[in-house]
Amino acid sequence: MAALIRYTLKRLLGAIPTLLIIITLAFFLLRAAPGGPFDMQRAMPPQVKANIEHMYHLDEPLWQQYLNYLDSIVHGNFGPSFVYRGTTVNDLIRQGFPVDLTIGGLALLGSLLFGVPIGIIAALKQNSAWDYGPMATAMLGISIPNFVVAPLLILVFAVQLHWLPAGGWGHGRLEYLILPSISLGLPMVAYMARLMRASMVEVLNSPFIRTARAKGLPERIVIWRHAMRPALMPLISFLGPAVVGIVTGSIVIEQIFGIPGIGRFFVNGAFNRDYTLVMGVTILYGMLIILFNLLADILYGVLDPRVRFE
Amino acid sequence: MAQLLEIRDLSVHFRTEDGLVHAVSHVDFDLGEGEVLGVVDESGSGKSQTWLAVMGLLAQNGYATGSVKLHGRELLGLSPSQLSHMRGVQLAMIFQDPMTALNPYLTIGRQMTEVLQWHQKMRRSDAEARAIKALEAVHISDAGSRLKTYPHEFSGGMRQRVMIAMNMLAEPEILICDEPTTALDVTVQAQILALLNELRERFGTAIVFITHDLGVIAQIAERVAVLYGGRMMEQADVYTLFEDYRHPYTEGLLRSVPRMDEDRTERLLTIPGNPPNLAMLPKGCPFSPRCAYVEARCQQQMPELEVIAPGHVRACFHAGELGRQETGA
Repeated sequence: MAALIRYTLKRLLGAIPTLLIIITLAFFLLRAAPGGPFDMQRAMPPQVKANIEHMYHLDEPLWQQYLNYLDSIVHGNFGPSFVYRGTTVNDLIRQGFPVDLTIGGLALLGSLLFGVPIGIIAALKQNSAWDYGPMATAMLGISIPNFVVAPLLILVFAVQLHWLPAGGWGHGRLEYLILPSISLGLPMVAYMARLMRASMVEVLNSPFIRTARAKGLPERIVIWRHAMRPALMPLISFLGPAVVGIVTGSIVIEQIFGIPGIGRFFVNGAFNRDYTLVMGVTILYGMLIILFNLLADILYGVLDPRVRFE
Repeated sequence: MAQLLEIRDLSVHFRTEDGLVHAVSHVDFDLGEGEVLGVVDESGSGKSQTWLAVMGLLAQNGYATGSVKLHGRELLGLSPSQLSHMRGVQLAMIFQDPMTALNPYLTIGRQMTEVLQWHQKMRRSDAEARAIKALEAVHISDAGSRLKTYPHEFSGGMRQRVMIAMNMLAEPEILICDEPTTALDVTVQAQILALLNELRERFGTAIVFITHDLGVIAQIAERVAVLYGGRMMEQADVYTLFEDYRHPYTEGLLRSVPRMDEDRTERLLTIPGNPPNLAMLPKGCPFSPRCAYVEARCQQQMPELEVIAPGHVRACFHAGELGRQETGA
């Protein structure tokens, strides 16, 4: 346990340089993009523009701005949004992030809840209808992008059947969550089912499973006690990439369903050169991905006795 | 010696993309109580498949025909649950690579006690006590605390000991050893062989020892079956086989063993050619493409097994003496 805590702290410390690289790259890339947050279609009087830029410290040398920015995020302050006047990036994140957390979490949970059993059943009933059917469907699920799935779902369940609302947030009431979560989670279900099937098939062919069968253990013990844990390992490694998928997916899904999450701010921010907003969201996503990769590694170590935390 | 296992006309086939592969064709084996049968076959010749078929452990694309009787009871075609009540209790099997044969995610104790908990409905604490005894029987020290450790904390030889202990827990009548020493270094190999001999004397377990190593056969087997390309070539007691072999393949195998008591400046003999490809066996005797005594009819039909002396059979057309011609270069 002490080793685990030490390992976690070490990894968190190790994340700092990673984040710093992300911040630095994002900061300078953003500035390298043409245009600025206050370029309007109609040119501003130069004096007005200079005043605004002075107010946001955009008239200072770039390295100065960079250092100032680092200083402020160290203090947990992501700065004021350039486009959403009068709001800070912290406010926007506080507002939008719980929304993403809700549908992202639901999508992840749902994909585990459906993908894992489907994959296991397919592996156990290898080369039968139980295998081919779900796996073909899963291939389809992986291939069809969510910006196609989401409108289709809306068309069927909202427009035709009137079962669920077509969009909006409705203060996070369940009926508003269902379609976005499904759209977001569907490719993930497909991916997890295929991953789970492949890994289960591999484990079931491994020598130690043959040993377990040779010992005369019934198939249910062979599967639940001997095969399940090793078969789940690849899924844990997938946790990191899965979060990336959910993050990028949510940007699209939020637009389609008109959900007030962070993805929308991110896209608007990028279009409008809202430097601080884009930076804030980038850092948040970066931290999220680092965190889930760490979580995956910890889970891996907890489940696999051969892994030692050092 | 009372008859324990009777295998008649056993064939094992695999459905593959290249068509049906005949891993084992029409073999007969008999095993008496407490007997040690050595099964010799070149690598890749499907020698394990006979015994996996006996255990009901063939891969999904494989199936067996013929008859396997244990105490007169037919084993082929048993239901999975009937099989699982027999495996581990009457028939146990240990495998070549002890590094992968144990589950890396479960403690040694768990993997051992589950055998007794399942088959004998034993309580966990009783099963643990038995597991400790079994580990002590295979000379693993500090067995009590070893139960809580995982396979990766053991060396290869130790793991094979654990495998043996685990498979002896329910005191099976037959222990099938599929190249149990091949993956181990020579000194460890000798220890494992000594251990198997010891256990056999103690429990009266019959052992089927599958190997391609005649040196190992000489140390452990009482009777030896030599297979090639999934067919029985020769079977005899171990002394007869080494001294009075009657099959060209047996001869080739014996001549390719390095000997300490002969002129060691001479090159070691080998059997020319490659081990058989089971997907493309010749029409006649599978060994005919590599045989120094090959005759025209060998390529046309497989010779029947003939009884040369009581307990000594061979399948070969060659009538004359062996050893006149050099096999190989």
